[in-house]
Amino acid sequence: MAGDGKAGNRLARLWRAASGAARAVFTPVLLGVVWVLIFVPGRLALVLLRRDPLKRRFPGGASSYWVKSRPPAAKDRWKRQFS
Amino acid sequence: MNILGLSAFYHDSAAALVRDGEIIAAAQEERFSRKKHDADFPRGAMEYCLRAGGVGPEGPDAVIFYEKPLDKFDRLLETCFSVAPRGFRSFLVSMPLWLREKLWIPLTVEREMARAGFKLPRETLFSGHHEAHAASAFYPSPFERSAILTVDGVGEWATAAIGRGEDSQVHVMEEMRFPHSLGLLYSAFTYFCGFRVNDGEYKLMGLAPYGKPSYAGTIREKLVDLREDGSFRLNMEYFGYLDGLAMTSQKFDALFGGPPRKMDGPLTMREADLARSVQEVTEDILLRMARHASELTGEGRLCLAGGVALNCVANGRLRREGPFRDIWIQPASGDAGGALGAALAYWHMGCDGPRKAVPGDAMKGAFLGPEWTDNEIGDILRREGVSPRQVAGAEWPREVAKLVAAGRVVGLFQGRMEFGPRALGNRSIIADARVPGMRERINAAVKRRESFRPFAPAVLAEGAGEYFELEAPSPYMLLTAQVRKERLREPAGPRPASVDGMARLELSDIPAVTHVDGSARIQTVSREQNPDFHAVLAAFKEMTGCGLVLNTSFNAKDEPIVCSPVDALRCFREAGLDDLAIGPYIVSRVTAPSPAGNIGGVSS
Repeated sequence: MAGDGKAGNRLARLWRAASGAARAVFTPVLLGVVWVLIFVPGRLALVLLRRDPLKRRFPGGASSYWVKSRPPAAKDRWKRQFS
Repeated sequence: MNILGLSAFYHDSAAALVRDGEIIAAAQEERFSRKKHDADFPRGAMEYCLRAGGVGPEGPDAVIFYEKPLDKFDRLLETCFSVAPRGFRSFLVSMPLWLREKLWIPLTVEREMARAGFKLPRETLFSGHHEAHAASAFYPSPFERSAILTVDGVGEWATAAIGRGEDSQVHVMEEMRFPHSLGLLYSAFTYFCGFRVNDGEYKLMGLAPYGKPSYAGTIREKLVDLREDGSFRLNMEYFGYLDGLAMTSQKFDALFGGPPRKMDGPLTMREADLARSVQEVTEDILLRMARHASELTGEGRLCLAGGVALNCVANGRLRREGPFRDIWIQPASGDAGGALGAALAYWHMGCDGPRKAVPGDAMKGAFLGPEWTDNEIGDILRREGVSPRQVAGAEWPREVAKLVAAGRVVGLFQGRMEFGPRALGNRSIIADARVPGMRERINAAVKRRESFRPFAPAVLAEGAGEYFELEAPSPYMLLTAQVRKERLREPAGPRPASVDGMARLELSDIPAVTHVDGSARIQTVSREQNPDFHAVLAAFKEMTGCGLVLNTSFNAKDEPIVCSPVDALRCFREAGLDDLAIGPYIVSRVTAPSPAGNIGGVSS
């Protein structure tokens, strides 16, 4: 029985190592595909539309960079994971 | 109604419990996990808060997280869209964390509550990041109404916010948005000077007085487009945090004379000058922001929070030169305080809970962490193989003061642990600030840290004016002020040219707590807020005529402040302290080197 336990532990360790290795390989590949297919074209679109969500033009030329905050929302705002 | 506030997954995760508007408990996770600035789910802190509040298996009535995760995720995606094809490496680091953890916060909360044996909350609630900071600043403050200014690295999109608090309402009015951030500007210089981001900012602040503001003009001209109202844009060509894993870019290196200092590299006057320069620019921006907040809100008082509010040098200038007649600063101003702010915000604005401003403040001296009874401490000491000396109640402050007066370095462990980054007398190391060489000794042998780092004085509140040009109490060590002129000394000979040389100067009759520019980061101790620590200071004054001691956090290098008696005993043994005053017990290191020699304590 003790032998079975040791073999089981070894198997679990092997499984964890294999899944860790698979994750280390597949995550960058999958995220790389997402990057190339979504973010790179998205960036191109922003350039073509001359839009910069981060407002990086320097100097910006405005008299103030404070922006008005949104007014307090309804009470269900506490339940939302976004404002 | 019990409301549990949580902050996590960035740095300094924490939990706080608020009952019907009263702050019951609050603590950072690092104190329990023993990982400095721990960002994981605050499992230990949450369990402590719920048990300290006597919350049964039915769990709290509400659980609230300190920011809106989807807004933050939106900022991450928009940043990626804005910098692609660059930025893939930082995308690769951050995205798995979001997919695995940060997008599933309600599930994580449910799992952790169940694991801790509490019933699942009906749902997890969310406040805004700067709303939580603003709430943590205003609700515990002594003001019925005030302006509120919150400044940090970044929350969801906001990096700074101005609002108004009145009775039970907090209203955020204006904000500045990522990537234009005062906190991140300061962190970029922290990184460039060879300190860890989100940890070394106070080292940079401590380094600043050694330097000259010779780069301040360059920062204003090249990096920051600053407006009269304190709003600004950063020139992102000089920063790396949008598309890389570094805070600064190669262009930044070229502007400031070479690559960043390595963490273990020598500290030169370049770093000191950079620190002084960015400190000066930071103070200028904060003062402008405060003036704008005053004009926008028409209020005469200010509440302050966010990581930048821990910059006590800037706070001191705000107090002296700013437009407000009174300022209150949240002692846990960093993200840890967001847990408390979120819970308070939901009580007052989500549940329409009433608020009554408390004279002083409602933070209970920031003593909101765990405590141990005298019997528990005695049992733990004996289990650890220590035979402590027990001191009767009235004699205890005199015994502790006697050790300090003998030139010994004493670990002080009493009562509830502090919430926030400062040790205020309950988890502190104290020593005689008048002893020549004490600062070098504690920096080198006890804390094992850089020699330039200053120490703070803890001074009797009623006698602070004897030592410092301080106009108002500073109970949370969040203000600096100058040591009084008559106490300052001019060192003989020419002033050293290096940081190390200047750090060895003894500049007043309390040299261990006098910084190189004659300033001190002050903690005023009142009888009302901490009677035990006040009694030690009063006894020390009676014995020596001096009403202050050096007070630094009770921790070893790169460790969080001690939480439990076991932590305290371990740190006492490893850090080379002379004595440990823990509850009613005193443990002394018989063999420890001490200027006053062995005083016949009990061997540990």
